[in-house]
Formats: sequence, C-alpha cells, structure tokens
Amino acid sequence: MQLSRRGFDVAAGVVLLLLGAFVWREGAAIPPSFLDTAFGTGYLVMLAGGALSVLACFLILEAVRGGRTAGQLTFDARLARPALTASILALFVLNLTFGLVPFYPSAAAMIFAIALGLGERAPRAVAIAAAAALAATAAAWVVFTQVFVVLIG
Amino acid sequence: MIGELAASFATMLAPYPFALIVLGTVLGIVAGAIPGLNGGMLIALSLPLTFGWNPLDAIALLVGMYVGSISGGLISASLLNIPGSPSNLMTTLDAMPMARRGEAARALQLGIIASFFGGVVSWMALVLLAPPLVAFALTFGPHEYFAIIFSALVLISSLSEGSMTRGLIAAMLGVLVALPGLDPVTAQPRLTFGFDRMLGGFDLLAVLIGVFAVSQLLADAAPGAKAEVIRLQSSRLVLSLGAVTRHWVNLIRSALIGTWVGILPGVGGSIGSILAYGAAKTLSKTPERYGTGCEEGVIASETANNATVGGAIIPMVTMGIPGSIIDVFLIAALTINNIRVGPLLLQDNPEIVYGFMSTLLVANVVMLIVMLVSLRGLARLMTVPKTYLIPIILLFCVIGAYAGNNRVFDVWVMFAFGLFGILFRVMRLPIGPFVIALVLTPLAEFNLRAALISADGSWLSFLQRPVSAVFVVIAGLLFVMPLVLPWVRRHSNRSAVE
Repeated sequence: MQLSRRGFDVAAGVVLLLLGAFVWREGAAIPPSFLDTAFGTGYLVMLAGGALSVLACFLILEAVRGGRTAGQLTFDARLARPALTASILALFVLNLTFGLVPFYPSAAAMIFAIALGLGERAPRAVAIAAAAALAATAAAWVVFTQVFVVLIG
Repeated sequence: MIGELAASFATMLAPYPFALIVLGTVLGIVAGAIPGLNGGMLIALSLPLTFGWNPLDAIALLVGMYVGSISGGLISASLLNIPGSPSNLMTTLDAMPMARRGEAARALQLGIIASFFGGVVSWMALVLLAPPLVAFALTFGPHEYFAIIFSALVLISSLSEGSMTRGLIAAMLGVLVALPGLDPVTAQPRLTFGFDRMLGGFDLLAVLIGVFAVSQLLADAAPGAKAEVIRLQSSRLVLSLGAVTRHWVNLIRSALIGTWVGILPGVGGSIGSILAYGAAKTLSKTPERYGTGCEEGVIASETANNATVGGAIIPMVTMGIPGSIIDVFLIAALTINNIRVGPLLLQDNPEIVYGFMSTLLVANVVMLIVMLVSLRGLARLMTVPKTYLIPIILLFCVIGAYAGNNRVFDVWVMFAFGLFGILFRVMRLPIGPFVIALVLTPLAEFNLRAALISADGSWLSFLQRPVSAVFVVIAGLLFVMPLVLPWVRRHSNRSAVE
C-alpha cells in the first residue's frame, strides 16, 4: 500500500492538532489551588497543548504547500517482520504482567520465536536459535538475578 | 585545580574504576561497530545496572561507553559501508572507497588516531573552559536559567534534521511526556487520567530505552539488502607517524569544529563531522578527491565526531544542559544517585566534574590502544547476525526497564515508547529535541515558576535582566530566522531579476 507523504503529513498534523486541543482542555480542567502563585497548575499543560496545536497547523500548512513533503510512504510486506517482532514482545510483556509462565522460560521462548521469525527455518538454523535462546536467557539470569538481584516475574 | 585533577586521575586509574573504563570502552567499541547497535542504546541498557553504584564508577563505565561507541562506528563505516552511528556517516564516503582499493587497514588506523586526537583536544577544552563557565553560571538566577534552557530547546529544534516545525513538534511532545504526575508547587495531579501509577510520571529510563533501543530494534527487524563486507589484510596493519602528522592542519581544524559543535546543546557528532568534512573539502586544493577514498575526509570526520564528546560534556557539567543525547543518560545516571547537575556541581561535588575530565582522557587512551591492538578481531564483529541479536537485546530492554522500579508498568511504558519511536521515524520527527526536552522540562518548569514567583508573576522580568534578555532574544531570533530568511532570499532574488 502506498500513501502520499503529503496526505500522511496532513493526517499527522490533524492528529497532533486534536492532541494539542485535548491537552489544552485537560489543563483548563485542573481546578485552581490555594497554593497557586503566579503560574497555576494547569497553565503549563495548556501552554504545551496550545503550542502543539499551533505547530500542528504549521505542519499541515507545510504539507499543503508542498516543500519537504514530496514522495510516497510505502507500507508493504517488509513491515511484517517488525510487526511480528513487536507482537511477540507484546505477548512476552503480557505474560510478565499476568505471570502465566515463569519469566526466564518465557524469555527463552521469546528469543527463540523472534529468531525463527526473522531468520531461516532450516533444521540447523532452528537448532542455533534454540541454543542462542537458552544461552542468552541463562546469561541474563546470571547477570540480572544472581549478580544484580533483579527479582523479576 | 591541577591538584584536584591529578587526584582525580589517581582515583580513576585505581584498579576497579580503570577496569570499568576499559570494560565500558570495549563494550562501546563493540556496540558502535555492530550495525543496529549504538552508544545510546548500550548506555540506556547499562543505566539500571549502575543503581546504587559509587557515582564515579558509573561515570567510568558510561563515559567509556560514550567514547568507545563514537569510535567503534568507524569499523562498520570502513568495512561494511554502514555508519555504526550517525556520527560516522561522513567517514563512509572515503573510508569505504579506501577499503575497496585494499587500504582498509590504513583507513581504520588513520580514523582511530584521528578519533584519539579529536578526543584529546576536546578534553583540553573541557579542562580549560569548564571552571570559568561555572563561575559565570553561578551568577545566574531562575530567570537566566529558564531563558538559557528555553533558547537551548529552540536551538536544538532549529538545528535538528528536517524542518524546524518538526523539530519544535518533537520538542513539544518531549515537554508533554515530562508533564504527567504531581505538580511540583501545588502537588495537584496533572495529565494522570485518574491512574495512580501515573502520579510519579513516566519513568525516564523506561522512556529512553523504548525510544532508543526498542524502536531501533523493531526498525532493524525489517529485511534489508545484504551488505558487502571487506576483510582486513593482515600484512598491512602498520602505519607510520608521518602518515598522520602531515594532516596536522586538518586534525586541529576538525577537532576545534567538533568541540565547538559539541558545546551547542543537542547538536551532536553527526553535525560536527559533516561540518568538519565540509570545511576540509572547501579548503582543500583537491576537493574533487573527497568521496573517492581520500584520507583527509576520514580524518576530518573522525576527528570531529570524537571531539564533540568533550565539547558536549562542557554545558552538562557547567549548566546542567546536555550537549548531546548521550549526555541525557549521563545526567540520568547522576540524578538517580541524588546528584544535581548544574553550576553548583563543581562546588558541591567537584570529584564528579574532575571525574568526567579524567575519565574522558583515560577512555580516549584506552580506545586508542584497544582499537589498534584488536582491529582484526573487531572486524569480525561485522558478521554477527541480527536475527539473534535483536531478541536478545529486547530481553535486556525488558529487564532494564523493569529493574529501575521493579514495576511491570514501566515495561509497558518502554514498549509503548518503542512504538512511539517508530512513529517518530515514519513522521520524520527528530528524536534529539524530544529526548532533550523530556529531560530539560522539569528544570525549565522549576526555574520558570521560581522566576515568576520572585517577580510577582511579571513575564516582563525576563526582559529586564541582561543575561535572560539576551537569551530570550536569541531564542526569538532562532525561531524567527528560519521563517523569515526564505522570504528575504525570495524577495532579493526577485529584485535582482527585475
């Protein structure tokens, strides 16, 4: 799938404009405090939100007028591997959150799965991926849990 | 000062800190040499390990990594045509053609010696400039501080890659990410959306690991073309002293350019090396040789990028303003040890400032020896497959993000900011202004509010004090110039045509 860089920049500008407006509204909603001095709690939030909205308008203007925004943005099969890697990482963190599988075995599984996803699937490559996963997990366990006493999972 | 510096050298050359400098430098060189890894990523992953360490030990490890990673990128730039870090971008233009015609070892050795020279010149600048700058900075109040930080943020945004609008948007997103949590004056929650875990804000380390390491690893997971790897020829690993000294003008000029660029907040090694390369080419009698395997090109680029390291430490130790993205990590390492970086650092913790000075020189010497001795072994690192590196480093990212506070929430923050980093790449937003704004915002807010309280809420007070007025005007000019200059050029061109 191909998107024009200009269209993408306009869409990004609109999202940033809305984000800025939302942040402004959040800042305005903070009630005044008796501790307020010259600069209330919500002022900086509103300032940042307002500035982001103004800059987003500039981005949209830049995109509409052309300039540095020429070209195409390509979304193709090359994105499958980063997406797969991110999905496996998300599953790993999800498991860490709910503690379904102990941390280090799940870490080894994560390394193995990503290595297989990114590399070849020939028997030799699978064996190397498995060895790398076990060795790296063991090294991480020694360094972090045994030496630096990071109790995880 | 000389006595304190000598004492600091004695401290840092004791077996344990020295071993950490060697370890940091070697790891930095390895990270710099392997495409896809970089100094920022390595330092972000190592930061959690330094919790509870003696700050000088943390400085020894992290400064070693900083120097090593900037230098290590030379290897992949010369043998693989892939700059190990953006700072080595210009090196590839001449080092790779030299390598292709059988002069890989010569290109590498020239680059290593040039890197060492750049590092030593910037060290001298750090030693000579830091104390007087600190004395000047001590006269500053909150008005001056806020004005300096504000102008630094505008400067970072205007000098970053791409358009200034994108730089400012990145900086503003950095400000937004720094805001959630409790208000520092009224202790009211802001941008927490009712989540108790947000009351402490986003953990800086988790954000840094996500934006630097996770986003880079996810981007590296995309399939790419297989690179050409050039092998070193074992018989050609000796370089005469004369081969280096005949480039002395180029060495000194590039070192000074690199040091100066390093002092500018957030600009970093890539701009330093581009400017030094450009200057060398412009002043050369044979500019057409640049880009075809010219020794002067390698020397200019490598001298300047290493010189930015010492230059970048100067604003950090004198004013608490990071001179480069990696300085953000150094500030974080000191902050987690309750050491506040700024003009009072030399007064309250002189051993830290002198520790930076001595470590920088020792790390440069270690880098020179390690790289010259182990060049052939380092060249073999080019063949480490990304397939295994990416998931292993991702595991270290997860543990690193968790280790700071022992909270799974921080791991999710890291993951989210990893995706955020990818979005930054797609939107062509520069990462430098984002990270530096993230670190500087609490300091800027503290000084802004202190200044307004002391001036009864008068914003005009920023223009009534000479130093703050100068920096506010500089910030204004930096903001307006990129908008006005194209119009002025267009207008003058039209007048010329008429």
